[in-house]
Amino acid sequence: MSITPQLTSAAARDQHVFRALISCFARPGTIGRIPHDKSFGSNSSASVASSVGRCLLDHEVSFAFAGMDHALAEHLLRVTAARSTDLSEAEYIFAAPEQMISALDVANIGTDEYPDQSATMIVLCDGLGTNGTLLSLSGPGIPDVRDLNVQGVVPEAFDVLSDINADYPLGVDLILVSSDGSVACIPRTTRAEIQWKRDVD
Amino acid sequence: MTSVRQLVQDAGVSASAYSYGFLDETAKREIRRKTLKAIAIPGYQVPFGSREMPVSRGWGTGGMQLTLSLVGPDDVVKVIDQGDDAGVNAANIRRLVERTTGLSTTLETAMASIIQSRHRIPEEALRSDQILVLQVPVPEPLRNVERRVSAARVMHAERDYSKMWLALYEDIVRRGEVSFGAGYPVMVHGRYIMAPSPIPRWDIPLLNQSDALYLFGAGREKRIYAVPPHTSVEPLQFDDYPFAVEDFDGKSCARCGANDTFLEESISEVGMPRFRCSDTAHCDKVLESREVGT
Ligand SMILES: [Zn+2]
Repeated sequence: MSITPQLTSAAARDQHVFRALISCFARPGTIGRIPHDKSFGSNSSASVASSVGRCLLDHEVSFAFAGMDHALAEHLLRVTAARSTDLSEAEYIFAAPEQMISALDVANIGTDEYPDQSATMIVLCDGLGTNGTLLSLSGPGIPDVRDLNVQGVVPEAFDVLSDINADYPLGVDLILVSSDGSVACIPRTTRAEIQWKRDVD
Repeated sequence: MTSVRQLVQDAGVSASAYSYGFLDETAKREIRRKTLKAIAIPGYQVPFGSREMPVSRGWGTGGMQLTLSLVGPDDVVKVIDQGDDAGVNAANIRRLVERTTGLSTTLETAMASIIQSRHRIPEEALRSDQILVLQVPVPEPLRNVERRVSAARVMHAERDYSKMWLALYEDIVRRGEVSFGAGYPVMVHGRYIMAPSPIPRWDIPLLNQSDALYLFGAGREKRIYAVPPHTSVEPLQFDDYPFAVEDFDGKSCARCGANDTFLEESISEVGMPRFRCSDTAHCDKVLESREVGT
């Protein structure tokens, strides 16, 4: 009788995160759950972003940070061995909400022949599902229209995202995470219209 | 060819000589990155660094790598080969999944969270919590009109599908119909022509606006692509020569009696053509419900 290989706790977390991401990419605007990276301390949006990073990053890919403190960058460099690079070249960009627009302006959108060689942006927002900017999403993965509330990101950032992704199949794919472990994705195929905005306290 | 049985025996030294799900975590991570890009660009073929698997290429190694990158402790896996759970290919893959993950497998479509299939989509409507992984021998739909991979890539980039349309037109002129039987080319999200893998035309409408996510893996040619749920998938067709599924009018399954499934023809002992559901699990289910009902 052979022994079945065991899933290590890190591999289990990565698998769990991947399934949340795949589900949210396939159904833009639905909210999934991602476990915090416990090795990155507190229950912050950064420790959720860290779990995303550990699921996707390794020595084969590059990443960059926009408006983030150094702790998460140093942690991801250490645990994933991914290369740190400029925003314009990075395959994965971790962005603070207030830096989302400036990061989008320079992010890699891929080429006509290789549109997949484009940036995925992970934005650490203040909350998902209630309050903040109300987006009306449509496109593949969405029967009709799906609403998504995003807190802490200026509405104009989604206009910039729409402009960039209007050049489909070129574009940037967005992963939004918040401190409670919520995740939502807006791939480049999704049209995001701003329905309503409310200032968050 | 290395058999799974032999692999498992060799690994009997200790199955822990390899990782959970056979692939190492680096391999899984790459496939996961590429899978997300594939979903973000429906129908576009994402290159990936296909790994060696313990079966020959052409035996579903692309699908297998997708499945093994997806699975976790909560999954129930179903594997079918041309609709049949008992096919040799299906049995080998099922055993590999079981031995390298300890997961349970199922024959019932409704019980599965992940279904890996070769050449068929299950008859039973898939749900939003299910993922169908299709094995792909030839991922490039333009292969027959453009043999050079780089030129085909440019055609996709420029959305220049005139050669493909011309080939379809010539087919109709010559044969009076489009001769694609299995693997009928489709347009995904109005942008990319995609090879749906050698599924019958019968299955093509199931790709359109589905509740489930479809993933396609080509191991030998190192490509991953996807059709997300609720995505437009249209067979290529002309207004005056519309796409049509296989015609089974007046025929039914000799085993379960169904007249609304994709049938396979065989010759009976007395030399008469005989039809059976290609989807064996569905056939079993229909048969069972008939027996309960009477
Ligand atoms: Zn039947």
